Amino acid sequence: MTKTRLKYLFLFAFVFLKIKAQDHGFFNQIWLEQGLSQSSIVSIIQDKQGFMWFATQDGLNRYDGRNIDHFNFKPFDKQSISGDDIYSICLDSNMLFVLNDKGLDKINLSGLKISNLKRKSESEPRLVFSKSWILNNTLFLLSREGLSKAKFMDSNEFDLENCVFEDSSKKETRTIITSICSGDKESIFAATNKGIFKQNKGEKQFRKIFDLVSDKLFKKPTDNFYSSIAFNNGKLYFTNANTLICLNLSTLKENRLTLKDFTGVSCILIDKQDKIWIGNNGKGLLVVSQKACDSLCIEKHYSKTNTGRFAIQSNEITSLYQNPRSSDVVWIGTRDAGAFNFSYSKNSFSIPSSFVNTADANFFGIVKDKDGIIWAGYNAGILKINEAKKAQQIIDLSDFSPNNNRPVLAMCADEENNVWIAYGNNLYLIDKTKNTLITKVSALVPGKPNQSSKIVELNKTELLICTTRGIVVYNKQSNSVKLINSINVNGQKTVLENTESFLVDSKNNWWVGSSTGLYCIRQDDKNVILKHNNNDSNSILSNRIMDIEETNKGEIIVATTKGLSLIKNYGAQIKNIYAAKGLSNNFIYGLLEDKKGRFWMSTNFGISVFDPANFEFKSYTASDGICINEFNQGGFYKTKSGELIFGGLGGLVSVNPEYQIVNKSVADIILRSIKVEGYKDSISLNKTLILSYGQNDIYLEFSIPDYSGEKNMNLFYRFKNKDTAWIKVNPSQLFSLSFINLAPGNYNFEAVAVNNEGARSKPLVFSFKINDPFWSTWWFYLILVLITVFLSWVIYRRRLKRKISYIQQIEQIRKDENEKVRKAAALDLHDEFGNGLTRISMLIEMTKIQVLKENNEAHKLLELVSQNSNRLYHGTKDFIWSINPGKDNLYEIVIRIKDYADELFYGTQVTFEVEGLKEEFKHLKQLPTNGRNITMIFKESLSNAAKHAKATKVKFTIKQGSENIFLILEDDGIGFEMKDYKNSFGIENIHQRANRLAAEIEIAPTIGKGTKIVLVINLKKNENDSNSA
Amino acid sequence: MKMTVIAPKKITIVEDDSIIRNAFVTLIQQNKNYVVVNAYGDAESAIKNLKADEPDICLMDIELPGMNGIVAISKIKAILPKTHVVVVTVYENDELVFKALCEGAAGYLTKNIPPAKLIDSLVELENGGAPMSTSIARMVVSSFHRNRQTPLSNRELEVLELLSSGKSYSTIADQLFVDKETVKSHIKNIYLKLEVHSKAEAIEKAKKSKYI
Repeated sequence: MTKTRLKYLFLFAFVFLKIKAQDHGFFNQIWLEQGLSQSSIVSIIQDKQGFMWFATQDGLNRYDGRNIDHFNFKPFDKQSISGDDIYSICLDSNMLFVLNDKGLDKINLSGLKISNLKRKSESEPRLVFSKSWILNNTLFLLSREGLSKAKFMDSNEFDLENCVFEDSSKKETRTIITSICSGDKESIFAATNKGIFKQNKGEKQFRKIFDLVSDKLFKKPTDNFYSSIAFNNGKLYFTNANTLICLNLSTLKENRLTLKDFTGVSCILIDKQDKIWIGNNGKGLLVVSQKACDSLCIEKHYSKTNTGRFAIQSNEITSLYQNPRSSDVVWIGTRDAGAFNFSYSKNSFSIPSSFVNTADANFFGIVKDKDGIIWAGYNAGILKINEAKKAQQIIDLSDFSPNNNRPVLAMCADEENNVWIAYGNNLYLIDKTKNTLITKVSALVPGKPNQSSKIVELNKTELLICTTRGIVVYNKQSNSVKLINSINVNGQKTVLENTESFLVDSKNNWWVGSSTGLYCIRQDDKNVILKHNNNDSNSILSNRIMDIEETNKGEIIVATTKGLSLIKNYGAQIKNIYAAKGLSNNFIYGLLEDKKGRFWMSTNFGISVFDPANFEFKSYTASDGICINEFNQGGFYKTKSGELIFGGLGGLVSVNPEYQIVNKSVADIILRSIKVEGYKDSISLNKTLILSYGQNDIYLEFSIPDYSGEKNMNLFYRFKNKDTAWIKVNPSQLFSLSFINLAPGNYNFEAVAVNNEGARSKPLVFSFKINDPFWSTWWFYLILVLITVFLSWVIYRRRLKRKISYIQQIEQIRKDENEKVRKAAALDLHDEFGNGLTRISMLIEMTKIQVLKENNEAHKLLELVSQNSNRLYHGTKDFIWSINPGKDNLYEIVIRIKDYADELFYGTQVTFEVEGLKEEFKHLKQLPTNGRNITMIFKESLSNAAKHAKATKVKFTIKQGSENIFLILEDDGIGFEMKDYKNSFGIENIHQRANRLAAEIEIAPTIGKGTKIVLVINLKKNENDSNSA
Repeated sequence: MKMTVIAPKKITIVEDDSIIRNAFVTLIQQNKNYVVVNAYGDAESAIKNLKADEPDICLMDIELPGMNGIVAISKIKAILPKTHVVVVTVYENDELVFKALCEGAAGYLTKNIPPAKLIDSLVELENGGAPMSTSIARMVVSSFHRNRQTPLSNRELEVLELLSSGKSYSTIADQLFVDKETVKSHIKNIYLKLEVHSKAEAIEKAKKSKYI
């Protein structure tokens, strides 16, 4: 039973399998899993910021490489697009026009403000547009009526201007436009059912420039129906039913390529690599390259496959797009599987096994012979792969080594293009014509079970085979083997077993790797064993040596299961590289050196590239284009041309580093949003964001519109003015950063995106400032100081005021008391003296009456007594008057003098008058003593005038000067000689009183003409005296 | 020639000082035109005998034991409205002058008046005059200079006047024999009536409007 099955398998194995001709391409899919609203892509566009826009039949999607934002019609929301079934989108600098089943919308990409656009004076039935383009800054809309230009009246209203197509055929049929594109010099080309049309700049009409009706090859009228058109570099490309035509507009030479079985072209794109991408409804995608003389040739045909995670998953291609500014990525929209991007850099890796149909795609030993045939060992078999013919063949080893159900590790293609296989204890040569094996050595190590891991061509005649029993040298010419299973190390014989890898270095030393350490068989016999010693960091990382190579500096580089060890001077110096940055996995199977001296390593997780010049690694995993992640022992091979082939779980990967396209462009980082509590204004990157002390929790969200794969981008940030270390942002769904409780200060934020090739984006820089809390600002300190100063001043003022008011009160009390005493004294004096003197004068009067009139002497005496008592009375009254408060002003003084004079001259012939007395003299305060002195001076003078002057007229004048008051008493009496009275008591008294007043007195008598007395009182002096009193 | 006998005018003297009283009696008696019907040491006895005396003129001192002269004037005027009461006093205080005049005094003389002048004053009185010492007369005249259309009461005017002469509340209170709080309430009323808010404003406004 088992035998029959095996035989059947064997027979099956020798049949060359013709497979469907389809090419491998590495595509990244964006669909529902990534958040796409629907699988049916209508149109694709990339905006200036880098966001991808996918139009679907269920709304619009914006994609940044990680996240998808949706733009749908939202009922009752004016800020939404008018319909979900989108027909077409087109971009005009910062405006995205969205044509959908309900109308035309415009999205302002800087604020994502959506406006629903209205057609001016639209009549029923509404014109339904099916497609839109923006060419030469004009919006073109396609409807059943034909092509029209939209003219914008204001921002949200437009009118239509129909495009006119020249029609010489005079046929009834309408001109149906399928597609338009812009050409050079702002011309526009249109693909129609009647040929290709062109409108030059400034022309009104579209003129026909091409049709196939007259062509012999295209008899049927339908063949003149062109479905898509593209212009690039002076050449116009367009398709009809099954032909791609390339028309060189300068030479008018055309090239045609018949697209067999490819009717139904939906779209066409000429990419930056000058490849022509043709999308088809149902047949997938064609890539046509242009060879010399513009000849066209189909290079790739990508279509839906059931295998391959990274293949295109649909044959219904609806749209093609490439950003004019980037060359690496081509976008493909499909009807039923979302959008795909094709990256040239990722497609640097090819999958030679992509077409292979095998149940066990788990490859170990690989060789590629000079005929380009890949021989890949797998479990108990060898797969022969003819990439050019997309053919595969299997050589089953179970017949040759029935009990050895192990993978084929050791394969070698020698200089003569023979492929050698060491399997178990046998050495085989592949018979390439019969696709079978020729047994060369049936027992590499006789009598013992043995396994082979590696074959190396030592020279033209010798092969070296690494086996579990030691290394075996096979001589092709003599067909003999020589086993080396022990070496002398430091004079001691050491067993050499379980060998797995081998290298002859530039000094002709043999390096043998085993599972027990590294052996160096030196030319000078000073053999060395290097083993892992856990206590010695200058020992190799592991005893399991997977591969050995020599760097161009003569260092031995050893791949182990724990990383790389770099050995100098036979182990005197060992540098170990373990878990290094950029090394995706430490389990290294093989090392292949490229022309730049870098080592490509297959690992248990992807392929890493090590550059010994700078000790840098970079790694590629399945999503970077290599499709598989886990590699196998022996599964690495370098061809003479430098192509590197790796085998592992799931297939083979091939790359020629020399021709590898490295994606060195990294998209600019977009700051999607800044969230700061209480901050509502829009944020501009050019302006420093000023935040208050409380707004120190900041959340930042970034997009890196890079579409080379989610894991390829790393975002780093730093605060340029705070520290220089770059910190990696750990992405979750988004690149986001939260800063909590930032201290006040200036922050210069800088972020940079780095892709896995080490390429950096332009740094995103913006500054923000968290203000100091108000209590630690300079102005607060200033206010505090000012308040303190002010308060101190206020307190000081209040205290001073209180003190002054207290002193004033005391002063007032003293003054009041003084006045009181004065008044009481005046009253008492007045009463006592007044009454007493009145009584005396009354008694005199009565005595006068009693004494006989004849007694003249007695009368004279009585008169004298009476006069004296009267004088005493008046004197007393003057004194009382003067000490009485309220009388101490000039007005009262003058009144006093006047009263005296009135009384004095009462009943005489003398007239007395006062001139110049004013109310305001009340304010001219005098000291009580001064008042008394003044009155006394003039009373003396007045009584003199009354007694001696014999005057008829006495005049008292008050004159006010600027500084002085003049009190003038004049009479028209007889006057007197001053010398006669100089020493009289009266004159002297007057002078004394004037002295006391500190006033000037002038007594000017004129004989026969009267007397003038002038008292000059200095006001200022008086005022001061009065105040000081 | 027919002689017309003119009956001498009857005079009553109310003066507590007996010397002065007697002197006045003696002096007046010298003149034939006047006869002193009675002289009293206090107002009460003078009023008691008023009807009997029926004086034409009553010389009235102010400071008297018992009833003071001012009160006596109104009583006398009530009993004998035609009697001229002339105040003869040592006081020249304006308050007393006005009070006396308000009560109906016909004249106001100071005691030191010479005898001749006293007789002249009586004659002047007889002729319908109002004899007054010069200082008293000026006091009366100056009071007319004041604006009588004042909204302030007499008491308030007094307070304001004292205030304007720089007196403190307590001094004013002392001088007017009232409580300090009363003075304060007077001042408050003054402020209200004059529509002012401070002492200085009140004084200024009162002076401008000649209330004081």
